[in-house]
Amino acid sequence: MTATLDLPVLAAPEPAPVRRRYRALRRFARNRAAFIGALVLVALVVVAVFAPLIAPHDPYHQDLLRRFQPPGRGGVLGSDDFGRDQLSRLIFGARASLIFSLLAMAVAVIIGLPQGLAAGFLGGKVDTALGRLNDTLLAVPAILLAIVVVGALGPSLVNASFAVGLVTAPRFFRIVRAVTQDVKGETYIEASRALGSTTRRTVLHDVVPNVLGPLIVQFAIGLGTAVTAEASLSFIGLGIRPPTASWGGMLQMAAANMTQAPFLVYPPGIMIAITVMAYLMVGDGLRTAFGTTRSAVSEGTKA
Amino acid sequence: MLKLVGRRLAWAPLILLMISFFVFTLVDLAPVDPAVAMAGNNPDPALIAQLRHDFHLSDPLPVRYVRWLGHALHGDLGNSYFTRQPVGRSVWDMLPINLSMMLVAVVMILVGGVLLGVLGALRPGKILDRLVTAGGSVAVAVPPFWLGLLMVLYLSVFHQVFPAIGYVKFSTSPWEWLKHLLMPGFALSTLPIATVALQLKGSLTETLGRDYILTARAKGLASKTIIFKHALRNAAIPVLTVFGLQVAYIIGGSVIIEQVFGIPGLGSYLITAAQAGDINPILGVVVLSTMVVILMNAAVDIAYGFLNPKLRA
Amino acid sequence: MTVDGALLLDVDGLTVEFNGPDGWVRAVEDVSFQVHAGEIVGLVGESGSGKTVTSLGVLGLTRAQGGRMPHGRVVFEGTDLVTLDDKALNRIRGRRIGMVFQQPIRSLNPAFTIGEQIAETIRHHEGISRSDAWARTVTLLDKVHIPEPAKRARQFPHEFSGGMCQRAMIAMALSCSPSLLIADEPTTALDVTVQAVVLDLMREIQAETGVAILFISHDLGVIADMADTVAVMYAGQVVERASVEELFISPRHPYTAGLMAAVPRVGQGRQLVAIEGNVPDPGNYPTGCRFHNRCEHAVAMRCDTDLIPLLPAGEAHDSRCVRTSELMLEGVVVA
Repeated sequence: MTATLDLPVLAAPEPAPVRRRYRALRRFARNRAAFIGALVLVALVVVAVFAPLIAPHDPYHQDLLRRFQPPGRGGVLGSDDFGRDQLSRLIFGARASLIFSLLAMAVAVIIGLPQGLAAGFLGGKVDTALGRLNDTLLAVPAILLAIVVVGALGPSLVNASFAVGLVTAPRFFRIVRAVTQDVKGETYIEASRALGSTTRRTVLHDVVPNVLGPLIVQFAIGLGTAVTAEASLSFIGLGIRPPTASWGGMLQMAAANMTQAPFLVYPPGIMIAITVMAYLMVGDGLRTAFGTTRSAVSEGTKA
Repeated sequence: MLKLVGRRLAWAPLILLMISFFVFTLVDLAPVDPAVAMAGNNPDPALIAQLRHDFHLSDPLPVRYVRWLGHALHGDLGNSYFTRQPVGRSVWDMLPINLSMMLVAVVMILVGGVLLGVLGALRPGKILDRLVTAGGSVAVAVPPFWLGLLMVLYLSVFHQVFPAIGYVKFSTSPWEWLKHLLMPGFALSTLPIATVALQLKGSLTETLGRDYILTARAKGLASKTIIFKHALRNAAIPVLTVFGLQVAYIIGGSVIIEQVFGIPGLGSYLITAAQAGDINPILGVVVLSTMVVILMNAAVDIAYGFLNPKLRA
Repeated sequence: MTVDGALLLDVDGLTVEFNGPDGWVRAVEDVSFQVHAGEIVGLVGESGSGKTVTSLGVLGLTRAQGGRMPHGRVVFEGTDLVTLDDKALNRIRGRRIGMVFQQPIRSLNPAFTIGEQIAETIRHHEGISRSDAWARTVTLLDKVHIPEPAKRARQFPHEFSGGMCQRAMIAMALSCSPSLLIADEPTTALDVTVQAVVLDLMREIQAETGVAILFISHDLGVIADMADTVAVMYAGQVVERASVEELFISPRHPYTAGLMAAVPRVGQGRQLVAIEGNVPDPGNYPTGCRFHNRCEHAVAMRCDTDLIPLLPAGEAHDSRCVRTSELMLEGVVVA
């Protein structure tokens, strides 16, 4: 549609998303907690990516003569029921955790984002229906639902992360919907529509940049909760299946042999705690940096 | 206000319907074939066919679902394909175990959360307040089941303070019942206590700055009365939402905690059923848990109305 | 409006400080005034003059707000309240001294009924039974002209109008028959018609019970209406003290005169006169007289160097101005 009125050309709007992000980045770097968290995450990613090069031993290699060796004699962190080196398994567990979290959150975004956009933008019956659907999902305790999904599909990294993504999607739905509704109500949208922008253009140019901020924050926080979720599911045997190294699986092994090898309990738990803290600190830092407090969802409690 | 609660509860049947259908479909997609699994180690094709016929496993999905629904509405939750035990009976037997764990955890959350929250509001910046704030940040990151493992390690393995495993019925020995539940309860409630305490501290601090608190002071009321009667009543309102969320959280968490402490509750029941594709127990536990969460939310709504007179009528 | 004579409240050199980000800041300094039995004393000043802090200081309520009172005495019925601990003060608060605040609806607890809050005060101080306290509550509500008092007592603050809430607060403040009522801007937040009703009520109660009132307001008209004697406050200090007639007819402090000139008068065709400048914040007070930088009568070397004390300016009339004997200030012309 072309404007037929002889209106003066409006100055192009500021490239708001770009400038905002630059400012946001600087604010983020100044936040000490967030900065430390980011460093930890970078270290974790490096470890995860270069696991085969960093790990001293093959995480799968069994040495049944050296079972339950305490730290020191049997390697830096000792060995488990099958004589496998714990440090190597810990390192490969970081890799599994990272892949799991990214996959889970990708699923959550893929499921939640379009729904949120649709509900926020279209409103009315679509909004009500999608709202009810997601409320229903939220009515069930998340872990229970995840257990059922994994049980149905069979335990594996992919299935478990899909399950976690599925139960986390409603949170993304809510945030995207809220932001979309806010943006839709802004006067500049009305102006833009009056000038003939199509829905698609409005969505892409105006809604999405505003959604990105809270979305990224929720993504970071969600990665943290996914780590705990993976650990919990693997711990009860419905997550990453052994012999693949995973922190939850290592804790399952540790739990079964607490009297014999108590030292197995510490490393995986410490790593989980550090990783989740890092994700949450980064998420909080991002939230302050973007200056949005729209993600009112409480992080950490995977309810 | 009763209207509000009523309206919320009116949605409950629809939610339960949708959840049960969703789960039913999901489990049906499972690669596990119940008939094959039930046939045991020597899958005789004739036996499998017989089982399939007996349990109507070849009927289309909607038919099977409606059949389940029909029975469920009459109170019959079916039997487990594998243990052949009625689900209703099993759930009924195991319910007290989970309820006990929840009770202990909820009491800990209420007592711990209120105490730490009030102290944090009265003595901000002091050691206890800083501990709780720091503890809260850490507790978010620490998996509760790992906390449970550590407790078992230090309080059962290294030093025999508490029993590590199992559950004792209240009727058998109240003291043993409690002893077995203290560690699991605490593992479950650590994060909720910190969350509730921090929320209450913030809310209470804000409430204590309100005009009507100044009036109460000017009336000559004692500090204790002002805090626990006048302030807490109002400060508790936003904390209720958080508390409700925490209860939903511990329902889920208890499933994992059961495994840590070897408690034979509904969590184990669910996990076994989920792994086997045993639809009836799965549906039984999921529907029950959802009902509990819905009731919990309704209870929170009622409490809101009680604390905030503006919501009544 | 007769004054019985017995000295009820003697505030002498009261100073209140609050702990701010840059250290302790004085909000109120060297405030002195007296209230006699049955007297209505007006405390007048703009926002930020320290009048509310003074009233809170009398009851020792500044401690809960993070303040302290390093100097001064507040002698009430023979006892210096500054020396009392909270437990002893709580026997005075609500029982011997009642207090009413500015925002009536906000000053009542939304979670409890009006009746419960009044009855609570009575029971706390007098220990009588619930039913007796409730009966008295209903009587009190009736005394303050709240219609259907028995029914209203069971209602919540949000169901009351502003004026009704204020009347209920007055009932609560007077529930244990105190000898002094402190009213901090009691009608400021109310509509004009409601104001008149509340003020009439206060006068009625004063005449009936003989309670003394410390009436705080920024509204000169209300003060002129209600008070027997007046203390004018500016920037944390009392700058003038006099009987209400004296004050309005011949003010002896430039600030007071400025306040009166600023009151718009109908039918005289005068331009609105405002005092130039702004009230200084605590901690940023000018040296010397705190008003000198806004005063049209200020004289260099006299008004801007030393602290100015309260100087006598007539019979029972004091003014914190070194030029008070030289200046002829215009007051309100009484037609």
